[in-house]
Amino acid sequence: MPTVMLAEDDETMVSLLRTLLGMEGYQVVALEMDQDIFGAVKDNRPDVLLLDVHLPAVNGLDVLDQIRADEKTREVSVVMTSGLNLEVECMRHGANEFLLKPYMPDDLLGILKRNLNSTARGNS
Amino acid sequence: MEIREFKYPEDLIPTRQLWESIEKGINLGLSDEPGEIEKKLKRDPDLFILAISEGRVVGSVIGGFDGRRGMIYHLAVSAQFRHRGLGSKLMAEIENRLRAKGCIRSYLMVTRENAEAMQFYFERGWERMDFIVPFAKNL
Repeated sequence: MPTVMLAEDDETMVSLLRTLLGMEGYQVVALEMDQDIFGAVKDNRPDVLLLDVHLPAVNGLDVLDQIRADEKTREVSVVMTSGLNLEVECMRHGANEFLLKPYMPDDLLGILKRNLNSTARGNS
Repeated sequence: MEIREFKYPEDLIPTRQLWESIEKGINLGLSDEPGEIEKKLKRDPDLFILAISEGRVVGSVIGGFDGRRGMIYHLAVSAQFRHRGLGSKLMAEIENRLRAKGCIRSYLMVTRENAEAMQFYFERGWERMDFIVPFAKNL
């Protein structure tokens, strides 16, 4: 079962995403907002990290930089999200995908599927 | 641009994301939880309206009618789509739908600091009611 890690500050949104992704067969790991995201990625090695650029305590781009700089985490697929169109910046920092909010559930599911497929190809 | 009714549950995530992106004037609370939205939709599916552009939720407005007065909530337009008449279009839609149900007068609430929203409503014929102090209670 592929694992999706969520770094999202709105509890209701976490609940909605957990339901959606659970129904689609994903295991969901939702991080607490006081949790060290990079440390959690390093420890859990999720298949995909869904990471908001604007989190209360940390800039998602800084976390992405950490992930890409560490050999244990650099292959983790990271999907960045924001209400602002920061696609160019996110891709420059090494994101696999950027998802502009508000997005429809099918957009997220399509991106996850695509990234899991590419991860599987990369591992073969 | 498409104006359509809320589809449950697929519109929950993008609509909440839209509301979260609004800088001021929308305070998310208990009534915005998925179960409460489902309850609202069972009662008034035709009074929960979204604006859709290229498959994305870019606007919302909710209406209510208790048989005596109407109420309007959560008029929201994504920042990239403002100043194009979308807020007016959503307001006209919800006012028409309330009117069609027999509603002859409606209320809405604006947070005190939201001068831009007040101006928006003044320009569309809404009056400020300074003689009223709103009360609320969780039941």
